[in-house]
Amino acid sequence: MNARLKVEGIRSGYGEIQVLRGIEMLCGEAQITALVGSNGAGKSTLLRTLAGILPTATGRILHGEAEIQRLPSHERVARGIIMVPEGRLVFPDLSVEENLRTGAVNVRARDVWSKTVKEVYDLFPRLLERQKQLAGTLSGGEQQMLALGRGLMGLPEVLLLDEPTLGLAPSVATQIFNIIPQLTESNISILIAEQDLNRVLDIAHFGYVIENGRITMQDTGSALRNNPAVAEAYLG
Amino acid sequence: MTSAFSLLKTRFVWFLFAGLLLIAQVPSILGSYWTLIALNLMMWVAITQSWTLFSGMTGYISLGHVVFYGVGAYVVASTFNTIPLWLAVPMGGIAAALLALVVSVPVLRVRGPYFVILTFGLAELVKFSILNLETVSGKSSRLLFGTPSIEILLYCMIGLVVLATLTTLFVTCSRFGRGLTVIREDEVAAATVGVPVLRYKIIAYTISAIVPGMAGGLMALKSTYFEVLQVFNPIISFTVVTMAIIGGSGDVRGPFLGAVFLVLLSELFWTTAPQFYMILVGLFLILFVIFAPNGIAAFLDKLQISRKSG
Repeated sequence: MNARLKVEGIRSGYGEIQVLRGIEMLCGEAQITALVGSNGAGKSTLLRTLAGILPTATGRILHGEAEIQRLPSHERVARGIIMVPEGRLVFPDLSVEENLRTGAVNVRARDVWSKTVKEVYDLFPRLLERQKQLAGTLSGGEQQMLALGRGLMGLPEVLLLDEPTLGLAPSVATQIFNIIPQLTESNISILIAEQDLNRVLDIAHFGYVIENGRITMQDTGSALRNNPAVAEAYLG
Repeated sequence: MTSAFSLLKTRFVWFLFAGLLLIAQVPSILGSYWTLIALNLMMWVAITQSWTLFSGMTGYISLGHVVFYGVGAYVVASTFNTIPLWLAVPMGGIAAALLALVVSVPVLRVRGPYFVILTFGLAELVKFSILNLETVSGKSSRLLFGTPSIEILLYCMIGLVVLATLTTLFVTCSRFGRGLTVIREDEVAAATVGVPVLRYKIIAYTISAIVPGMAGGLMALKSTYFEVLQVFNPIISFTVVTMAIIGGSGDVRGPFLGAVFLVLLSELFWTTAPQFYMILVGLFLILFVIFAPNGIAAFLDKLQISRKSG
Protein backbone atom coordinates (compact mmCIF):
# COMPACT_ATOMS: atom_id res chain seq x y z
CA MET A 1 0.00 0.00 0.00
CA ASN A 2 1.27 3.44 -0.90
CA ALA A 3 0.89 5.81 2.00
CA ARG A 4 -0.16 9.35 1.29
CA LEU A 5 0.03 10.43 4.91
CA LYS A 6 2.36 8.80 7.39
CA VAL A 7 2.22 9.50 11.12
CA GLU A 8 5.29 8.61 13.17
CA GLY A 9 5.25 8.75 16.96
CA ILE A 10 3.02 11.79 17.25
CA ARG A 11 2.55 13.28 20.71
CA SER A 12 0.37 16.32 21.27
CA GLY A 13 -2.34 17.74 23.46
CA TYR A 14 -3.60 20.91 25.08
CA GLY A 15 -0.88 22.77 26.97
CA GLU A 16 0.34 20.57 29.80
CA ILE A 17 -2.27 17.91 29.19
CA GLN A 18 -0.94 15.27 26.85
CA VAL A 19 -3.62 13.46 24.89
CA LEU A 20 -1.71 11.61 22.16
CA ARG A 21 1.10 9.38 23.42
CA GLY A 22 2.88 8.26 20.30
CA ILE A 23 0.58 7.55 17.37
CA GLU A 24 1.78 5.50 14.39
CA MET A 25 -0.49 5.27 11.37
CA LEU A 26 -0.75 5.36 7.58
CA CYS A 27 -3.39 6.73 5.24
CA GLY A 28 -3.36 4.91 1.91
CA GLU A 29 -3.74 6.63 -1.45
CA ALA A 30 -7.38 7.02 -2.43
CA GLN A 31 -8.40 4.86 0.49
CA ILE A 32 -10.71 5.30 3.43
CA THR A 33 -8.96 4.95 6.77
CA ALA A 34 -11.19 4.75 9.83
CA LEU A 35 -10.26 5.95 13.28
CA VAL A 36 -12.51 4.49 15.95
CA GLY A 37 -12.48 4.75 19.71
CA SER A 38 -14.53 5.94 22.65
CA ASN A 39 -15.11 9.55 23.63
CA GLY A 40 -11.92 11.18 24.85
CA ALA A 41 -9.64 8.56 23.31
CA GLY A 42 -7.94 11.24 21.20
CA LYS A 43 -9.65 11.01 17.79
CA SER A 44 -10.36 14.72 17.44
CA THR A 45 -6.99 15.63 18.93
CA LEU A 46 -5.25 13.51 16.31
CA LEU A 47 -7.19 15.06 13.42
CA ARG A 48 -6.61 18.57 14.76
CA THR A 49 -2.91 17.84 15.11
CA LEU A 50 -2.73 16.54 11.55
CA ALA A 51 -4.53 19.68 10.32
CA GLY A 52 -2.17 21.94 12.26
CA ILE A 53 -4.85 23.42 14.51
CA LEU A 54 -2.93 21.92 17.45
CA PRO A 55 0.87 21.93 17.56
CA THR A 56 2.78 18.66 17.36
CA ALA A 57 4.91 18.15 20.49
CA THR A 58 7.11 15.36 19.10
CA GLY A 59 7.01 12.95 16.19
CA ARG A 60 6.72 13.38 12.45
CA ILE A 61 3.89 13.78 9.95
CA LEU A 62 4.91 12.90 6.40
CA HIS A 63 2.92 13.98 3.38
CA GLY A 64 4.57 11.97 0.64
CA GLU A 65 8.26 12.64 1.31
CA ALA A 66 7.80 15.99 3.03
CA GLU A 67 7.71 16.56 6.78
CA ILE A 68 4.76 18.81 7.56
CA GLN A 69 4.46 18.72 11.35
CA ARG A 70 5.95 22.22 11.71
CA LEU A 71 3.85 23.84 8.96
CA PRO A 72 1.05 26.21 10.00
CA SER A 73 -2.48 25.07 9.22
CA HIS A 74 -2.95 27.25 6.12
CA GLU A 75 0.17 25.78 4.50
CA ARG A 76 -1.13 22.27 5.11
CA VAL A 77 -4.41 23.27 3.50
CA ALA A 78 -2.44 24.55 0.52
CA ARG A 79 -0.79 21.11 0.30
CA GLY A 80 -4.23 19.50 0.22
CA ILE A 81 -4.53 18.31 3.80
CA ILE A 82 -7.96 19.57 4.70
CA MET A 83 -10.07 18.99 7.79
CA VAL A 84 -13.85 19.12 8.05
CA PRO A 85 -14.18 19.99 11.73
CA GLU A 86 -16.55 18.38 14.17
CA GLY A 87 -19.81 20.18 14.87
CA ARG A 88 -20.32 21.48 11.33
CA LEU A 89 -18.46 24.73 11.81
CA VAL A 90 -19.98 26.60 8.90
CA PHE A 91 -19.91 30.40 8.76
CA PRO A 92 -23.48 31.19 9.86
CA ASP A 93 -23.77 34.73 8.47
CA LEU A 94 -22.41 33.85 5.03
CA SER A 95 -24.56 32.32 2.30
CA VAL A 96 -24.12 28.71 1.20
CA GLU A 97 -22.20 29.77 -1.87
CA GLU A 98 -20.01 32.20 0.07
CA ASN A 99 -19.22 29.40 2.52
CA LEU A 100 -18.19 27.18 -0.37
CA ARG A 101 -16.10 29.95 -1.81
CA THR A 102 -14.14 30.37 1.41
CA GLY A 103 -13.22 26.70 1.07
CA ALA A 104 -11.25 27.59 -2.04
CA VAL A 105 -9.03 30.34 -0.62
CA ASN A 106 -5.88 28.24 -0.89
CA VAL A 107 -3.52 28.82 -3.79
CA ARG A 108 -4.23 25.58 -5.66
CA ALA A 109 -8.02 25.85 -5.45
CA ARG A 110 -8.52 29.60 -5.87
CA ASP A 111 -8.55 29.93 -9.65
CA VAL A 112 -10.68 26.86 -10.37
CA TRP A 113 -13.32 27.51 -7.72
CA SER A 114 -16.16 28.08 -10.19
CA LYS A 115 -15.49 24.66 -11.72
CA THR A 116 -15.14 22.94 -8.35
CA VAL A 117 -18.34 24.47 -7.04
CA LYS A 118 -20.32 22.83 -9.87
CA GLU A 119 -18.90 19.44 -8.90
CA VAL A 120 -19.87 20.07 -5.28
CA TYR A 121 -23.42 21.01 -6.35
CA ASP A 122 -23.58 17.79 -8.41
CA LEU A 123 -22.63 15.85 -5.31
CA PHE A 124 -25.02 17.78 -3.05
CA PRO A 125 -27.97 19.06 -5.13
CA ARG A 126 -29.51 20.29 -1.88
CA LEU A 127 -26.79 22.92 -1.57
CA LEU A 128 -27.60 24.26 -5.03
CA GLU A 129 -31.23 24.71 -3.95
CA ARG A 130 -30.05 26.62 -0.89
CA GLN A 131 -27.28 28.53 -2.73
CA LYS A 132 -28.29 32.03 -1.54
CA GLN A 133 -29.53 31.06 1.91
CA LEU A 134 -27.53 31.97 5.02
CA ALA A 135 -25.69 28.92 6.32
CA GLY A 136 -26.96 29.52 9.86
CA THR A 137 -30.52 28.84 8.71
CA LEU A 138 -29.77 25.38 7.27
CA SER A 139 -30.77 22.14 8.97
CA GLY A 140 -28.09 20.06 10.70
CA GLY A 141 -27.80 17.67 7.78
CA GLU A 142 -27.53 20.49 5.26
CA GLN A 143 -24.86 22.16 7.36
CA GLN A 144 -22.87 18.93 7.41
CA MET A 145 -23.17 18.70 3.62
CA LEU A 146 -22.01 22.30 3.42
CA ALA A 147 -19.05 21.64 5.71
CA LEU A 148 -18.12 18.63 3.60
CA GLY A 149 -18.60 20.58 0.38
CA ARG A 150 -16.49 23.42 1.74
CA GLY A 151 -13.72 20.93 2.47
CA LEU A 152 -13.93 19.59 -1.08
CA MET A 153 -13.68 23.11 -2.48
CA GLY A 154 -10.08 23.19 -1.28
CA LEU A 155 -9.20 20.27 -3.61
CA PRO A 156 -8.09 17.87 -0.87
CA GLU A 157 -5.54 15.13 -1.28
CA VAL A 158 -6.22 14.00 2.25
CA LEU A 159 -9.62 14.79 3.75
CA LEU A 160 -9.83 14.60 7.54
CA LEU A 161 -13.43 14.04 8.62
CA ASP A 162 -14.20 14.54 12.30
CA GLU A 163 -17.45 12.82 13.28
CA PRO A 164 -19.33 13.75 10.10
CA THR A 165 -22.63 12.15 11.17
CA LEU A 166 -22.68 13.28 14.80
CA GLY A 167 -26.20 14.34 15.78
CA LEU A 168 -27.68 13.81 12.33
CA ALA A 169 -30.96 12.04 11.50
CA PRO A 170 -30.31 8.40 10.44
CA SER A 171 -31.44 9.00 6.87
CA VAL A 172 -29.06 11.94 6.49
CA ALA A 173 -26.23 9.91 8.03
CA THR A 174 -26.86 7.21 5.44
CA GLN A 175 -26.62 9.81 2.69
CA ILE A 176 -23.26 11.01 4.04
CA PHE A 177 -21.96 7.44 4.29
CA ASN A 178 -22.99 6.83 0.68
CA ILE A 179 -21.13 9.87 -0.56
CA ILE A 180 -17.81 9.29 1.23
CA PRO A 181 -16.77 6.21 -0.84
CA GLN A 182 -17.48 8.19 -4.04
CA LEU A 183 -14.82 10.70 -3.04
CA THR A 184 -12.03 8.13 -3.23
CA GLU A 185 -12.82 7.79 -6.94
CA SER A 186 -11.54 11.36 -7.32
CA ASN A 187 -8.25 10.19 -5.79
CA ILE A 188 -8.95 11.64 -2.35
CA SER A 189 -7.58 9.83 0.70
CA ILE A 190 -9.94 9.95 3.63
CA LEU A 191 -9.23 9.69 7.33
CA ILE A 192 -12.50 9.52 9.19
CA ALA A 193 -13.09 9.59 12.94
CA GLU A 194 -16.52 8.24 13.71
CA GLN A 195 -18.64 6.96 16.58
CA ASP A 196 -20.82 4.79 14.35
CA LEU A 197 -18.43 1.87 14.45
CA ASN A 198 -20.17 -0.62 12.16
CA ARG A 199 -21.04 1.76 9.40
CA VAL A 200 -17.62 3.34 9.23
CA LEU A 201 -15.84 -0.02 9.20
CA ASP A 202 -18.17 -1.13 6.40
CA ILE A 203 -16.82 1.55 4.09
CA ALA A 204 -13.21 1.70 5.38
CA HIS A 205 -10.34 -0.08 3.68
CA PHE A 206 -8.32 0.00 6.86
CA GLY A 207 -9.04 0.95 10.43
CA TYR A 208 -7.28 1.93 13.63
CA VAL A 209 -8.62 1.61 17.16
CA ILE A 210 -7.42 4.39 19.45
CA GLU A 211 -7.52 4.11 23.24
CA ASN A 212 -6.03 6.60 25.72
CA GLY A 213 -4.00 8.30 23.03
CA ARG A 214 -2.45 5.11 21.63
CA ILE A 215 -3.28 2.85 18.70
CA THR A 216 -4.23 -0.49 20.23
CA MET A 217 -5.51 -2.40 17.18
CA GLN A 218 -5.23 -2.08 13.44
CA ASP A 219 -6.57 -4.20 10.63
CA THR A 220 -8.64 -4.09 7.47
CA GLY A 221 -12.08 -2.56 7.90
CA SER A 222 -13.92 -5.86 7.54
CA ALA A 223 -11.59 -7.70 9.95
CA LEU A 224 -12.08 -5.05 12.63
CA ARG A 225 -15.81 -5.16 11.95
CA ASN A 226 -15.88 -8.85 12.95
CA ASN A 227 -13.48 -8.55 15.87
CA PRO A 228 -15.39 -8.58 19.20
CA ALA A 229 -12.47 -6.89 20.98
CA VAL A 230 -13.13 -3.73 18.95
CA ALA A 231 -16.62 -3.31 20.27
CA GLU A 232 -15.23 -3.74 23.76
CA ALA A 233 -12.60 -1.05 23.24
CA TYR A 234 -15.23 1.21 21.84
CA LEU A 235 -17.33 0.89 24.94
CA GLY A 236 -14.22 1.97 26.84
CA MET B 1 -24.77 40.96 -4.78
CA THR B 2 -21.29 42.12 -5.67
CA SER B 3 -22.56 44.66 -8.22
CA ALA B 4 -25.11 46.07 -5.76
CA PHE B 5 -22.34 46.44 -3.25
CA SER B 6 -20.02 48.27 -5.61
CA LEU B 7 -22.91 50.57 -6.61
CA LEU B 8 -23.54 51.46 -2.99
CA LYS B 9 -19.85 51.95 -2.63
CA THR B 10 -19.52 54.43 -5.45
CA ARG B 11 -22.53 56.39 -4.19
CA PHE B 12 -21.00 56.35 -0.73
CA VAL B 13 -17.66 57.56 -2.07
CA TRP B 14 -19.36 60.54 -3.76
CA PHE B 15 -21.21 61.39 -0.56
CA LEU B 16 -17.96 61.08 1.32
CA PHE B 17 -16.03 63.46 -0.87
CA ALA B 18 -18.88 65.98 -1.01
CA GLY B 19 -19.17 65.88 2.79
CA LEU B 20 -15.45 66.27 3.35
CA LEU B 21 -15.27 69.18 0.89
CA LEU B 22 -18.03 70.90 2.88
CA ILE B 23 -16.17 70.32 6.13
CA ALA B 24 -13.05 71.79 4.54
CA GLN B 25 -15.05 75.02 4.05
CA VAL B 26 -15.90 75.31 7.75
CA PRO B 27 -12.92 77.55 8.70
CA SER B 28 -13.71 80.20 6.09
CA ILE B 29 -17.50 80.19 6.57
CA LEU B 30 -18.26 79.35 10.21
CA GLY B 31 -15.14 80.57 12.01
CA SER B 32 -12.75 79.16 14.58
CA TYR B 33 -15.20 77.67 17.09
CA TRP B 34 -16.77 75.43 14.46
CA THR B 35 -13.35 74.68 13.01
CA LEU B 36 -12.40 73.13 16.34
CA ILE B 37 -15.58 71.08 16.34
CA ALA B 38 -14.92 69.97 12.76
CA LEU B 39 -11.39 68.95 13.76
CA ASN B 40 -12.74 66.94 16.69
CA LEU B 41 -15.34 65.30 14.49
CA MET B 42 -12.75 64.33 11.88
CA MET B 43 -10.45 62.96 14.59
CA TRP B 44 -13.18 60.69 15.94
CA VAL B 45 -14.15 59.50 12.47
CA ALA B 46 -10.53 58.70 11.62
CA ILE B 47 -9.86 56.74 14.83
CA THR B 48 -13.19 54.93 14.84
CA GLN B 49 -12.79 53.96 11.19
CA SER B 50 -9.38 52.45 11.97
CA TRP B 51 -10.77 50.68 15.01
CA THR B 52 -13.54 49.19 12.87
CA LEU B 53 -11.00 47.88 10.40
CA PHE B 54 -9.67 45.60 13.11
CA SER B 55 -12.37 45.15 15.76
CA GLY B 56 -15.40 45.40 13.46
CA MET B 57 -14.03 42.96 10.94
CA THR B 58 -12.44 40.38 13.24
CA GLY B 59 -14.81 40.67 16.21
CA TYR B 60 -11.85 41.19 18.57
CA ILE B 61 -13.00 44.21 20.60
CA SER B 62 -10.04 46.43 21.41
CA LEU B 63 -10.67 48.56 24.48
CA GLY B 64 -7.22 50.09 24.36
CA HIS B 65 -6.87 51.87 21.04
CA VAL B 66 -5.99 55.05 22.94
CA VAL B 67 -2.51 53.59 23.38
CA PHE B 68 -1.79 54.21 19.69
CA TYR B 69 -3.21 57.73 19.87
CA GLY B 70 -1.06 58.41 22.94
CA VAL B 71 2.10 57.00 21.42
CA GLY B 72 1.61 59.12 18.30
CA ALA B 73 1.13 62.21 20.46
CA TYR B 74 4.22 61.31 22.50
CA VAL B 75 6.39 60.94 19.40
CA VAL B 76 5.30 64.32 18.04
CA ALA B 77 5.66 66.08 21.42
CA SER B 78 9.05 64.61 22.28
CA THR B 79 10.55 65.35 18.87
CA PHE B 80 8.97 68.80 18.63
CA ASN B 81 11.39 71.41 17.22
CA THR B 82 13.97 68.73 16.48
CA ILE B 83 12.44 67.07 13.43
CA PRO B 84 9.98 68.66 10.97
CA LEU B 85 6.31 68.00 11.60
CA TRP B 86 5.63 66.51 8.18
CA LEU B 87 7.99 63.76 9.27
CA ALA B 88 7.10 63.62 12.98
CA VAL B 89 3.37 62.99 12.48
CA PRO B 90 3.83 60.01 10.13
CA MET B 91 6.54 58.77 12.51
CA GLY B 92 3.89 58.81 15.25
CA GLY B 93 1.80 56.52 13.06
CA ILE B 94 4.75 54.23 12.39
CA ALA B 95 5.66 54.08 16.09
CA ALA B 96 2.06 53.13 16.91
CA ALA B 97 2.10 50.43 14.22
CA LEU B 98 5.41 49.06 15.54
CA LEU B 99 3.98 48.90 19.05
CA ALA B 100 0.93 47.06 17.70
CA LEU B 101 3.15 44.64 15.81
CA VAL B 102 5.31 43.89 18.85
CA VAL B 103 2.44 43.33 21.28
CA SER B 104 0.15 41.60 18.77
CA VAL B 105 1.66 38.12 19.06
CA PRO B 106 0.98 37.69 22.78
CA VAL B 107 -2.17 39.85 22.84
CA LEU B 108 -3.93 38.16 19.92
CA ARG B 109 -3.53 34.70 21.43
CA VAL B 110 -6.41 35.34 23.82
CA ARG B 111 -10.01 35.85 22.81
CA GLY B 112 -13.30 37.30 23.98
CA PRO B 113 -13.42 39.14 27.30
CA TYR B 114 -9.76 38.29 28.00
CA PHE B 115 -8.70 40.13 24.88
CA VAL B 116 -10.81 43.16 25.83
CA ILE B 117 -9.25 43.33 29.30
CA LEU B 118 -5.75 42.74 27.97
CA THR B 119 -5.95 45.63 25.48
CA PHE B 120 -7.24 47.88 28.24
CA GLY B 121 -4.46 46.78 30.59
CA LEU B 122 -1.83 47.24 27.92
CA ALA B 123 -2.93 50.85 27.33
CA GLU B 124 -2.74 51.57 31.07
CA LEU B 125 0.70 49.92 31.26
CA VAL B 126 2.09 52.07 28.46
CA LYS B 127 0.45 55.17 29.96
CA PHE B 128 2.12 54.74 33.34
CA SER B 129 5.43 53.71 31.79
CA ILE B 130 5.59 56.91 29.75
CA LEU B 131 4.37 58.91 32.74
CA ASN B 132 7.29 57.58 34.80
CA LEU B 133 9.70 58.20 31.96
CA GLU B 134 8.53 61.82 31.74
CA THR B 135 8.69 62.32 35.50
CA VAL B 136 12.18 60.86 35.77
CA SER B 137 13.41 63.11 32.97
CA GLY B 138 11.70 66.04 34.73
CA LYS B 139 9.11 66.76 32.05
CA SER B 140 5.71 66.26 33.62
CA SER B 141 4.15 68.13 30.71
CA ARG B 142 5.49 69.81 27.59
CA LEU B 143 4.43 73.06 25.99
CA LEU B 144 4.56 73.15 22.23
CA PHE B 145 5.22 76.61 20.79
CA GLY B 146 4.65 77.54 17.17
CA THR B 147 2.28 74.76 16.17
CA PRO B 148 0.44 74.93 12.82
CA SER B 149 -2.94 76.67 12.63
CA ILE B 150 -6.18 74.82 13.34
CA GLU B 151 -7.12 75.06 9.64
CA ILE B 152 -3.97 73.21 8.58
CA LEU B 153 -4.58 70.57 11.24
CA LEU B 154 -8.18 70.18 10.05
CA TYR B 155 -7.03 69.59 6.47
CA CYS B 156 -4.51 67.00 7.68
CA MET B 157 -7.19 65.31 9.76
CA ILE B 158 -9.53 65.19 6.75
CA GLY B 159 -6.65 63.52 4.94
CA LEU B 160 -6.52 60.89 7.71
CA VAL B 161 -10.26 60.29 7.38
CA VAL B 162 -9.82 59.71 3.65
CA LEU B 163 -6.87 57.41 4.31
CA ALA B 164 -8.72 55.37 6.97
CA THR B 165 -11.92 55.13 4.92
CA LEU B 166 -10.23 54.14 1.67
CA THR B 167 -8.18 51.54 3.55
CA THR B 168 -11.36 50.09 5.04
CA LEU B 169 -13.12 50.05 1.65
CA PHE B 170 -10.12 48.46 0.02
CA VAL B 171 -9.75 45.82 2.72
CA THR B 172 -13.48 45.00 2.68
CA CYS B 173 -13.30 44.07 -0.99
CA SER B 174 -10.04 42.13 -0.76
CA ARG B 175 -9.31 38.50 -0.04
CA PHE B 176 -7.65 39.72 3.17
CA GLY B 177 -10.93 41.35 4.24
CA ARG B 178 -12.96 38.23 3.50
CA GLY B 179 -10.43 36.28 5.56
CA LEU B 180 -10.98 38.67 8.50
CA THR B 181 -14.78 38.28 8.23
CA VAL B 182 -14.41 34.51 8.25
CA ILE B 183 -12.20 34.75 11.35
CA ARG B 184 -14.98 36.69 13.08
CA GLU B 185 -17.51 34.02 12.09
CA ASP B 186 -15.50 31.05 13.35
CA GLU B 187 -11.78 31.01 13.94
CA VAL B 188 -11.25 27.22 13.88
CA ALA B 189 -13.28 26.85 10.71
CA ALA B 190 -11.30 29.72 9.20
CA ALA B 191 -8.08 27.84 9.94
CA THR B 192 -9.44 24.63 8.40
CA VAL B 193 -10.23 26.33 5.09
CA GLY B 194 -6.70 27.70 4.99
CA VAL B 195 -6.97 31.28 6.21
CA PRO B 196 -3.64 32.24 7.87
CA VAL B 197 -5.53 33.28 11.01
CA LEU B 198 -2.76 34.62 13.24
CA ARG B 199 -1.00 36.46 10.41
CA TYR B 200 -4.22 38.14 9.25
CA LYS B 201 -5.10 39.23 12.78
CA ILE B 202 -1.61 40.70 13.29
CA ILE B 203 -1.73 42.61 9.99
CA ALA B 204 -5.20 44.03 10.73
CA TYR B 205 -4.21 45.04 14.27
CA THR B 206 -1.05 46.74 13.00
CA ILE B 207 -2.83 48.62 10.19
CA SER B 208 -5.52 49.79 12.61
CA ALA B 209 -2.87 51.48 14.79
CA ILE B 210 -1.40 53.76 12.10
CA VAL B 211 -4.13 56.39 11.71
CA PRO B 212 -4.82 56.68 15.48
CA GLY B 213 -1.09 57.28 15.94
CA MET B 214 -1.05 60.11 13.43
CA ALA B 215 -4.33 61.52 14.80
CA GLY B 216 -2.76 61.61 18.26
CA GLY B 217 0.17 63.56 16.87
CA LEU B 218 -2.12 66.12 15.24
CA MET B 219 -4.21 66.51 18.38
CA ALA B 220 -1.08 67.15 20.47
CA LEU B 221 -0.30 69.99 18.06
CA LYS B 222 -3.86 71.25 18.40
CA SER B 223 -3.79 71.45 22.20
CA THR B 224 -0.25 72.98 22.09
CA TYR B 225 0.78 71.05 25.14
CA PHE B 226 1.41 67.42 25.94
CA GLU B 227 0.21 65.78 29.09
CA VAL B 228 0.47 61.98 29.46
CA LEU B 229 -2.72 61.43 31.44
CA GLN B 230 -4.67 63.39 28.85
CA VAL B 231 -3.49 61.70 25.65
CA PHE B 232 -3.69 58.23 27.19
CA ASN B 233 -7.10 58.86 28.75
CA PRO B 234 -9.10 55.59 28.55
CA ILE B 235 -12.23 57.65 27.86
CA ILE B 236 -10.88 58.00 24.31
CA SER B 237 -10.99 54.20 23.85
CA PHE B 238 -14.49 54.02 25.33
CA THR B 239 -15.73 56.83 23.08
CA VAL B 240 -14.38 55.08 19.99
CA VAL B 241 -16.16 51.83 20.88
CA THR B 242 -19.37 53.75 21.65
CA MET B 243 -19.25 55.59 18.32
CA ALA B 244 -18.63 52.35 16.45
CA ILE B 245 -21.57 50.61 18.13
CA ILE B 246 -23.96 53.52 17.68
CA GLY B 247 -22.92 54.10 14.06
CA GLY B 248 -22.60 50.43 13.13
CA SER B 249 -19.28 48.61 13.41
CA GLY B 250 -19.79 46.36 10.40
CA ASP B 251 -20.25 49.20 7.96
CA VAL B 252 -17.90 51.77 6.47
CA ARG B 253 -20.57 54.48 7.08
CA GLY B 254 -20.80 53.55 10.76
CA PRO B 255 -17.91 55.66 12.09
CA PHE B 256 -19.25 58.77 10.30
CA LEU B 257 -22.75 58.29 11.65
CA GLY B 258 -21.59 57.41 15.16
CA ALA B 259 -19.13 60.29 15.38
CA VAL B 260 -21.60 62.88 14.04
CA PHE B 261 -24.24 61.61 16.46
CA LEU B 262 -22.05 61.82 19.55
CA VAL B 263 -20.34 65.09 18.61
CA LEU B 264 -23.73 66.73 18.02
CA LEU B 265 -25.03 65.32 21.30
CA SER B 266 -22.01 66.66 23.10
CA GLU B 267 -22.42 70.08 21.45
CA LEU B 268 -26.02 70.22 22.61
CA PHE B 269 -25.47 69.14 26.19
CA TRP B 270 -21.81 69.22 27.21
CA THR B 271 -21.58 72.90 28.11
CA THR B 272 -25.10 73.29 29.46
CA ALA B 273 -25.53 69.99 31.32
CA PRO B 274 -22.38 67.82 31.32
CA GLN B 275 -23.76 65.18 33.72
CA PHE B 276 -26.87 64.92 31.64
CA TYR B 277 -24.70 64.34 28.58
CA MET B 278 -22.88 61.37 30.12
CA ILE B 279 -26.20 59.88 31.23
CA LEU B 280 -27.55 60.28 27.70
CA VAL B 281 -24.48 58.62 26.17
CA GLY B 282 -24.88 55.67 28.51
CA LEU B 283 -28.58 55.47 27.77
CA PHE B 284 -28.06 55.56 24.01
CA LEU B 285 -25.34 52.92 24.24
CA ILE B 286 -27.67 50.56 26.12
CA LEU B 287 -30.54 51.24 23.74
CA PHE B 288 -28.42 50.63 20.67
CA VAL B 289 -26.83 47.44 21.99
CA ILE B 290 -30.27 46.01 22.78
CA PHE B 291 -32.43 47.31 19.94
CA ALA B 292 -30.03 48.16 17.12
CA PRO B 293 -26.80 46.20 17.61
CA ASN B 294 -25.77 46.98 14.04
CA GLY B 295 -26.12 50.69 14.63
CA ILE B 296 -27.58 53.62 12.68
CA ALA B 297 -26.14 52.30 9.40
CA ALA B 298 -28.21 49.10 9.57
CA PHE B 299 -31.22 51.14 10.68
CA LEU B 300 -30.91 53.32 7.56
CA ASP B 301 -30.73 50.22 5.37
CA LYS B 302 -33.88 48.89 6.98
CA LEU B 303 -35.71 52.20 6.36
CA GLN B 304 -34.68 52.13 2.72
CA ILE B 305 -35.82 48.54 2.24
CA SER B 306 -39.22 49.13 3.87
CA ARG B 307 -39.73 52.31 1.81
CA LYS B 308 -39.02 50.39 -1.39
CA SER B 309 -41.28 47.47 -0.53
CA GLY B 310 -44.00 49.60 1.10
